[in-house]
Amino acid sequence: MIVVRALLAIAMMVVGGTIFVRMLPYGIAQTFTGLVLGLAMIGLGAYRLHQIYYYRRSPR
Amino acid sequence: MPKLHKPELRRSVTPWGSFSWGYSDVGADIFVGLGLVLGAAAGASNVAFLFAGIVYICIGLAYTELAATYPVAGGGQYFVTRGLGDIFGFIAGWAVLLDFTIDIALFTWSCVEYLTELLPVISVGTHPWAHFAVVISLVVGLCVLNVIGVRESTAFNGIVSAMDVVSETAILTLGFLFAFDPGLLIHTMQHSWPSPYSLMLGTSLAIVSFVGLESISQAAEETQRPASVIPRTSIALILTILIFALSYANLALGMHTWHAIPPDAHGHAQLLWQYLGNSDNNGKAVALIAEQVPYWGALAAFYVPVLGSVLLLISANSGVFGSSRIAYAMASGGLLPSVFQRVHPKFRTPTASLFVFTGVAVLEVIFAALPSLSPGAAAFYAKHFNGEAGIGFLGDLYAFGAATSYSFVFVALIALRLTDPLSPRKFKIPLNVPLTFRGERVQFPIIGVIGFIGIFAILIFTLITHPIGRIAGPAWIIFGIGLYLLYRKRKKLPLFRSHKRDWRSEQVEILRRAGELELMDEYIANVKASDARAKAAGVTP
Repeated sequence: MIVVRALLAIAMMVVGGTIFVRMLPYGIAQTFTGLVLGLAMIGLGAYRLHQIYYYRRSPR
Repeated sequence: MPKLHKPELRRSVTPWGSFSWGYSDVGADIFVGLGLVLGAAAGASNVAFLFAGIVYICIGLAYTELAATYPVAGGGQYFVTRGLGDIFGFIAGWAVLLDFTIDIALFTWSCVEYLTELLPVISVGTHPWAHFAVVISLVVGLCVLNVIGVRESTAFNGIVSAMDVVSETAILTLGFLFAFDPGLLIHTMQHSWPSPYSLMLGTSLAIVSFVGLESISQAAEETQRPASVIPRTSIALILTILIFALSYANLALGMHTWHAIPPDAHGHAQLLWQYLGNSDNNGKAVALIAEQVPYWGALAAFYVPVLGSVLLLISANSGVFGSSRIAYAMASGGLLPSVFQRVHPKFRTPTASLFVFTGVAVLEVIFAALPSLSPGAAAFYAKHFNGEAGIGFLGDLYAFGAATSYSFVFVALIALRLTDPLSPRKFKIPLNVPLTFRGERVQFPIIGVIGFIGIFAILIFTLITHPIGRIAGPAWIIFGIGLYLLYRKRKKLPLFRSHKRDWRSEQVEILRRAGELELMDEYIANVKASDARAKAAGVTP
């Protein structure tokens, strides 16, 4: 289960990174909301990975 | 005679339960908010969502710190009482109570609207009495579910929250993978940028999509190890909701549709955001955007109305839970009569609060349904409420109540950082300025100031752009203050000042009840050290 959760977190970071990279060429001002979206997805994925690592030995 | 223990709320909410309480409340908001924001803010809808989202992040961080530091039922109302005093605590709690009772009425009503896609026999247009009966039955059913106990309600929320997270992730991922075009997004933003007034209107509506995060803090008294669990669940929830809202907004502006968009009432071609934001469709925008997602759309057309109705129902359930817990906490603090503190001896749930505020929601449903049930009432509404239906009236108040109470919470956050530096904060908002206040080293929260400016701006936008909200919202607050003053006078409590409390003893008790014994020991040590410093300086602690 922990592997599945880690893979889901990594997948979220990949999707966020893809959105970020696709939007970046159109300029920061025009695609600012999209860039924030990409960064938020990367952030959530990284946060989940940190959580999984930190609580890996705890049932909670 | 042995001393009888007062029944306490049962600690049965797990980390996932805590997340799903918040998600079930905030997650459904986008189902109502997306179409409204697209209709108002047009090509700047994603900017409106981003502005509201940044404010929402600040709100979320403030609630996370406060709920982890003071894990008691009542959420924002308790923090404001502790930071600013009784009367401000009452106003903040009264504003949130308005929001939660509207939440019950509005989301139960919308839930039945979604169901009419599959069951036309309960359509408000053709069978208003059947529609009304189903809405009332659902409100009463939710009340009974909450009386039985939080464990049952949490399980119910957890299952549907998980279903929705999976479904929305599928819709958005497929939309971005197969239909999103950044060039189209840029084009739409450049050619459909709204007027400043429309952008203010859209932003004030966008905050509606983020209302409900306080559900986590309201469940704090029933959460296991709240100081550890609440920061984990809150941060995950903040990011999840922000991602969903920004994704929907960007998709709506920059997605190539899978099917042709029908022309508008005048026969003109329309873009996706125009189709989603017009008055016929803005109540079901998420279902319509899901239908336009490649491959998934055919299936989404069938199940999203069901999912929408279920999600809206659990959001209404959060409203039942939240309103009863706020009333419980306000009664505990001497802001409402003690009857609201009464806990069922078997189920250990606040039954009196549940019955009263579900009753208020039933009244609001009746208020909303009157125009559809009686032509005379429809004419009265048209004359006195600018032709707005009851639901529109309630929607205006929804934004007003949230912006008012959140403004107070930011001020309370700053005040508590200054006046209560001794309480251990397991989670602390970043970006702080260290300074000395009344002989104690404190951390002044910059994000608290930024958040206050943001939410106060949204409150101003709401007052400028919602003609009914700017009258009825303050009227609700004034009515509440009147009731509060009457109650305080009758009980011979100070009217405008706070009655004396021993916050130090209360904090020890809060942490003991929460099972946060390490934090309790740390707090006691901090208090002793502070008293010793004060004694050395010749000051009475």
